[in-house]
Amino acid sequence: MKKKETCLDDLIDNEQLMLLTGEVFDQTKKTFKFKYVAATILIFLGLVGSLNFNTVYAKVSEVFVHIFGQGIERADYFKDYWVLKEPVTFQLENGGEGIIEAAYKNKDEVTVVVTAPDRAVWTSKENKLLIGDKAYESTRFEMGVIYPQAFDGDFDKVNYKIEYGFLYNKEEAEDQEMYLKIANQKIPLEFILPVEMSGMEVDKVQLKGFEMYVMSLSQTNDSVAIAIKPKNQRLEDYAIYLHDPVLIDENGKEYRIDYLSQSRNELKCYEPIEGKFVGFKSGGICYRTKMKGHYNKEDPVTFPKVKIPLPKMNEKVALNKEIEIEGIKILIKEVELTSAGISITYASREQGAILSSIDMHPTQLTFECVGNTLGSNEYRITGDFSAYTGQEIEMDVSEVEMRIKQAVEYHFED
Amino acid sequence: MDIGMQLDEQMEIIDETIYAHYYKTAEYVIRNILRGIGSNEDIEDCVHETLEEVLMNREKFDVARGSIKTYVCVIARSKALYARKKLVKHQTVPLEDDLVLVYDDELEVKEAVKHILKQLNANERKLFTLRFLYYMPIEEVSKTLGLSRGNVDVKLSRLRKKLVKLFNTFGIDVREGR
Repeated sequence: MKKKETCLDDLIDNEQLMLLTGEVFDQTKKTFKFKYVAATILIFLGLVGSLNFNTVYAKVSEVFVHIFGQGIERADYFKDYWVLKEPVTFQLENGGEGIIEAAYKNKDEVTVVVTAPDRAVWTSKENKLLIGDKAYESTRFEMGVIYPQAFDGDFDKVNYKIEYGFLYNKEEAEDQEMYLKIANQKIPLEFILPVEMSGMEVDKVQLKGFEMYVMSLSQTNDSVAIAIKPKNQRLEDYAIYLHDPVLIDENGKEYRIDYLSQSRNELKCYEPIEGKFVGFKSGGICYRTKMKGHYNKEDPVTFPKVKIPLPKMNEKVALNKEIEIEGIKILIKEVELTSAGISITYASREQGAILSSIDMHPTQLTFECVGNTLGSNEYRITGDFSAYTGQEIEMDVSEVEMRIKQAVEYHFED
Repeated sequence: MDIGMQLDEQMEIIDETIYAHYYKTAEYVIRNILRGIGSNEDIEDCVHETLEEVLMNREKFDVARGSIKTYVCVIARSKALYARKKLVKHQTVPLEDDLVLVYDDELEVKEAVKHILKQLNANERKLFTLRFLYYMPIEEVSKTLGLSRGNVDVKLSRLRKKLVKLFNTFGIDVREGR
């Protein structure tokens, strides 16, 4: 039987079409920022009256925020941002927990920050939509309870009702959204998560909102992505994107970050060492953190003696022996002895290279590792053939010269 | 003035209000579907037809099934697609992001469509609706959903893959383009 072909949209009946259309055109568009929370904001403004800035814990000019549906954003445009002294939780009807920790103000608009971190609340085992209209129908919370410290307004007189919301599992990297119902008006709530990296200072203002572990770092052409994990295990992992990050030393001198390694809970930077690196800066924000250790060229370094067996004349011997000098691993792949000299083929961890042949006499030895796992840095290991016994070559490494780059590690406090 | 005339006048006012209120909604939907095909006159005609139908068939409107706006959008879409078919009768102007299902049994495939749409989450459904049902350009989709263009592209690509996968589980092949 010949198969039929029909456009998908022709197979959708009216009932479905109405439902789908209603979902898009009949709801407030979920758009970032303040455009679509204007209604909320105006109501808040009306209720809040004047805000007492002194009662809030921190007010920062810039902060990273995680905006559901948008990802991590720099909140440069948030002129005022408040983090509550104590996050206030509220119980959802189905047993879940909502948390309100902060609010922000932009121009004449104020909105609240609500997070609903308990995934179990939001997702079902099948990763299907769990929260429908009914799940939130009667969930109420008192804003007055939520904001006892932060605002002097009349929140306590107002009931806020979460009418309904859609929340999804993060595995599908889906946006989350929720609506508040205020005085019969359905208002979308934006979920915003202020992000703080543990142990860091933001323009010398310590944020206490969220504590995060830095988990890993990766670099793209123009930005550095930092994966962070909140200390609160229930929260999801996030990523921060820093554009054009630079290192700064304790004197405020800036260095461009050439490379950041991807490693758990640490930030490795490779730069000329001209001072102690104590943080990095992104945009107008200076991040400082305690450094647990770093490469210090003043430290005495004991270089190992490298011994390589010498093959017979016109013989090539496969060695596959790894030597490690100052953390730089070099795989000596093979050695060949010819009348022209000794040829050593070696490879750094990622990229092989052939050492130019050297003569039989004690001479300077040079390894140049380019494009190894430490990034694009070049390492020059220099030394001498201190001994040539006829059976093996002994190389005295006199210097490990990381002339172009040096490694610095930043460990973020646990 | 008798009651009948008063009622007629009031109805006229209501009609005018509805017409004015939903004109832009209908135009928005129609303009996107007819973009590159229809002239402004075509679009206006289509909008007019849409609103006429909405007003003429007001008894068909069921508030339990959706708002008037939704109803207007659905009618506008249908009018626009019909107009599009007429306009492109002698041309080949494919609609972007059209998915064609290849199947044996129509009833079965309709059931599958219903089932699969339920498998999509709200954001995916919105994307599906905007792109696959209302044929909105990416820019419009991104504006409507408050996402960047790149983000929409990525989500769209994922959605397409997901749909193909889901349909395949029902033994339905999917190919792109009308």
